[in-house]
This record gives sequence, C-alpha cells and structure tokens, in this order.
Amino acid sequence: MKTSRVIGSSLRTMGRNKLRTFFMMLGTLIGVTALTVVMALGRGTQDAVLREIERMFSGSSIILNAGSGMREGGPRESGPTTTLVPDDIDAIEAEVPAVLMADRLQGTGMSEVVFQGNAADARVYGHAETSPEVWNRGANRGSYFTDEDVAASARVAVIGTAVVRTLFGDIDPIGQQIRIGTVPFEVIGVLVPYGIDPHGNDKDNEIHVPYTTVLRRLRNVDYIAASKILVDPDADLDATVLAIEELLRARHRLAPGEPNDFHMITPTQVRGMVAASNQTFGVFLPIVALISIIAGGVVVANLMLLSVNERRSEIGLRKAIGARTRDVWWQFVLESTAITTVSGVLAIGLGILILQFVRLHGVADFIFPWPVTLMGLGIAAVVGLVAGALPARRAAQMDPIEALR
Amino acid sequence: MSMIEVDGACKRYQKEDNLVHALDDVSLTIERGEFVAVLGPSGSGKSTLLNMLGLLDRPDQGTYRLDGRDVSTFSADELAAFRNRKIGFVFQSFHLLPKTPAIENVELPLIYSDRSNLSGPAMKALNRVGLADRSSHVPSELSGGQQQRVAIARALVNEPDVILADEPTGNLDSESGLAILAILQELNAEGATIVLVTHDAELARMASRRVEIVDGRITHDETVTDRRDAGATLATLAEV
Repeated sequence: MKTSRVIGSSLRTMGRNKLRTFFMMLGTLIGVTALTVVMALGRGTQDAVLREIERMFSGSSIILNAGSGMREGGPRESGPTTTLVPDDIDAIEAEVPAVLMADRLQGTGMSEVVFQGNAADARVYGHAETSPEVWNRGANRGSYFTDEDVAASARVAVIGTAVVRTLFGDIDPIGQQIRIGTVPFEVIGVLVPYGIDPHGNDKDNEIHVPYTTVLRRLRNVDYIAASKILVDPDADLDATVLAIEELLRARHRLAPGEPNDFHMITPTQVRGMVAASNQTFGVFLPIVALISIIAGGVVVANLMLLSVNERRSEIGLRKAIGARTRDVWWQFVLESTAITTVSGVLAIGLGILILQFVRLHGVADFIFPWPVTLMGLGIAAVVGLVAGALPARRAAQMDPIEALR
Repeated sequence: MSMIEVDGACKRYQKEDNLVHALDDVSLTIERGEFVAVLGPSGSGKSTLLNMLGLLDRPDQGTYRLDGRDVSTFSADELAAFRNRKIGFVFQSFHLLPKTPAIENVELPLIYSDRSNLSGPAMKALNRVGLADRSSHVPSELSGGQQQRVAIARALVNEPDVILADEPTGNLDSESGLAILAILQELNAEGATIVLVTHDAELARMASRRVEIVDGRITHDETVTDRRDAGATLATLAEV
C-alpha cells in the first residue's frame, strides 16, 4: 500500500472528526506557538539591549559609578555614594595616560519644570561640557553648554524634544526662561532625539544642565554620582580599569582589604550580564514550551486510544479486506503524527501573527527564530509519532473477528 | 479444480467448563460459480465456518484449499494479501466508514492492493449496484438497503473469486433484502461464487445449493430444487 494514500486518508480522517482533532492539536499548538513567540521576543530584546550597549559604550569606554555597586550577578550593595568628587575625575584625566576625556554626572531625578503657565515633569541631569563627545549626543538646535558655563555654574539648560513639546508647543524654546524647581534657567539648546532606553525611560524627556549647577544650585552637594570615561581605543581597557582603581583607592585613602567605594562597568562586563539574563529566554522558557508539547502528546495518545476503541469496526473491516498488521499500525501512527505536525505548522503561522501584532503595536521587536521553531516542529512530529505508537499497536493487533462482531 | 475445498476441519474452543466444537470434522467442496446457502441456528458454527472460509480464522485440524492453494501454511501478511485479492465480504451490519462518501468506502480494498487507479473501478462497482448517482453521499444519507449495496460494491471492486455474505439482509426490511438477494443472484449468474450464511430458510431458497449445519456438523447438503428468483419476487411484491 502506498504511503501517500495513507497520509491522504489520515488527513481526511482529521477533517471528519473536527472536535477530536482540535483537542488533539491544542497542546502542540500552544507549545510550538509559545516556543516561537518567546524565542523571537527573547532574541529581539537581547539584540535591542546589545545595540543599546554599543551605543552607550561607543568606542572604548568605562562607566564609573559611586558606591561599591554590584558584584557580578550578586546583590546591589549601596555603600557610601558621597565619596566620588569632581577632583577625582580631574585626576583620572590628568594622571591615567590612556584616558582621553571624561564626563561628570549628577542628577536630581524627576523635577518639576515650569515655562510660563505650563508645568511638566522631566529628569534633570548634570553633565560636563565633554558630554556631547563622550555620549555622542549633543544639541541640534541652539548649542550645548561650554566649559565656561560649567566653571560658572551657569543656569543654562539643554532640553529634550519631549520637554519642548509639552512646555513650549510651537514657541521657539531657545532663549526662553524656565524654572526647574524654584531656580530659573535659560534654555540654550535642544538635545538630539534619542528615544526610549532599555529601562523604559524616555531619553527625550531629559534636561541637561552643567553638573556644577546641579551640585551648587539645585542639590547643594559636592559629590557626583557617576562618570563616563573615554579611553584610547588602542589602549588595554583592563589595564586602564586597574590604573583608575589604584588611583581612586589612593585618593580615597582606602586601606588594603577595604572594599572599593566606587565601581566600574566595562562593555565586556555588560555583555556578559546580558548573556546571563538571557539564559531565562534561552533555556528556561523553551523548556516550559517543550513540556507543553509533551503534555499535548499525552493528550494525543489518550484520544488516539479512545479513537482506536471507537473505530473497532473500521479496524476489523480494514483487516478483513486485506490490510496487513503494519498497514493498520502505520495508519494510526501517521494519523497522530499528521495531527501534531499540522498543529506545529499552524503554530508557526499563529506565532508569526502574534509577533506581527506585537511589532505593530511597538511593544517589542523580534527576530524570527527559524532554527528553534523548526526544531519545535520536528519535536512535535516525533511526539505525535511516539504518542500514536501504542494506540496503533493496539489497533494493529486487534482480532478482526472480535472487532467485526 | 474446486474453488473451495475444506477437508476434515475442526475448531474447538473453551467456553466456561465446556469444550465447544464450533466445527467438528467439517468437509465441504464448493465449485466455481456455485451459490451456496449455509443454513443453521445461532451457535451452530456457521459463523466459524464463514470466518475460516474468509481466511480470518484457521482450523485447529484439517486443511483448507482456496483456489487450489493450501492456506494453512500462509503467514498473516500472505493471508491479508489473499483476502484482498480472492474474497469480498458482505456483513450484516454493513461496516461502512462513517462520514465517508460512498465512493471512498468502495475504494477501500483497492488501497491495500497494488492498483493505481482507485476511482475508476470504484465507480464501476457502484454503477453495478445501481448507486452511481450516490457516490458522494455519506452512509448517514443513505437508506439501509442503499448502504448494503455500497458494501456489495466494496466487495466487488477488487473482482474477487468468492463473495462471502454473512446475514446480509438481517438488518433490512424484506423488500430491501430481496433487492440485495437479486443483486447477489445476478452476480452469481455472471459467474461469481457466492457463500451466503443465514438462519432464514426462505432466504436459503434463493441459492443453488443448501448446506445445513448443526452443532458444528454438516447435517444436510443438497441442491435447491425449488429455487426462487429474488428479482421476480420483488416485481410481484411491487405489483401488490
């Protein structure tokens, strides 16, 4: 008997028993769909984060944060965050030869900003005049503040496009007076649009002011929160990190064995952390999806057994008219395999639909994981084959005389 | 060479404490082109005989030659292939696949043959039983008599040597039953060998030979002298 005929008749049987087929398909359908969607979004998110890291660390750079910070994968330990001062950064620029330049950061978090009658909440960050070069983001209208503004703690602000929209509408913001909290500032520039960062913060709803202004006029402190240090691309990054560490430990008079009161993040480290967090996507969730496919296989096996009992008369008849034992076996195995395979194919289609929906609504981007999805389809087919084997054996071994009675 | 040659066939099985002789030293020869009615009360062993003739069961003792071949040495696969080529079954309860069009039901034996054209012979067989216009109907859309005619078409489709009919009219009203017998008589007139198992003595008069079986033994074996024509009886019935 020809295999193509058996496959054809299996597919017709599926069509004639729609409800049974539907329940048999459900587990595999959910499993393969979940696998597809989870892997696609996981890869998409990972890629977005990696792109963001490239943007953040463009070239060769180090982020220096106040406080002992996190140990790799461990808990975040705050420690004192008041010990990193602008003089430290001056010393790094002066004494570590591989360092090209550095920014200095201190912020106020969300602050109320007022222009004439309009008020809005925006994140206010203090930066050094090096910021446009260090972060590769400056002003595209007006201008960024200068070293003189920083030296004078000038009350000047460069504002993001979202702030422009909410506060000014159609009015040209350059030269206008705004208030941050109670302190008046003059708007001198508009930041290049950036979008949303991986933490979900709108980087266009930011205001940059000289960090000295944040220290003296807005917060009345003498320490900074962080620095981004640009390093000569030809220099050894790890050696530079060690040199900075040594310099800061000496400047902060830390005794041997005493933990750092600062910490540094390099692009290599961040990539490692991203890879670790993606273990969730890469391993755990696919296992959950696989369990769903296998649970679906158990349902298929049970319903196939029911189906074999229900179709005794058909089995007896087929044997009477010349079906061999293995013909009957193949018929039922192919039926269950066809069911899980077809539902796997439907699942891929459903997955693509869901992903397109997600993309259209801008929730997340994805990269379609063909290898994993095709593997899921293959597993679904194998599960169908295995699930059908036992019921098929029962059918094949049925005594036709008993079955026809 | 005879179509069917059974020699000294015995079939026993244990039922509770009793050893039941379903077949007790049965010998039966049927020539090509005969129409044999096997008559007997239920439990007489006639179904066991039919299963054996249909290669679904083997005798414990004795030999069975079908078309000159001793089938007792055949493997299960060889028996299946032989059933497919040599035998057409017609059952009391039709055994059509539900939700499946008549034409596909008729094609079923061809699936297990090495024939490549399925619908041609199936359509021809449906035409032979007068149901060419019902080929796409599913069993639930057909009357009992029509369903049994589809089953006969299925038995015919592979052009078997023997048609084995087990109480084919048992689930039908007398008129539909007569129509079925008329078809079997026509097929027989065209040369088919037919074995009809029944407990109805009136029905047995449609055959050319009558074999009675009681308690696993053949008690009578005679030519039917007052043979009835099912087609003519049906015509008379229609006039009344």
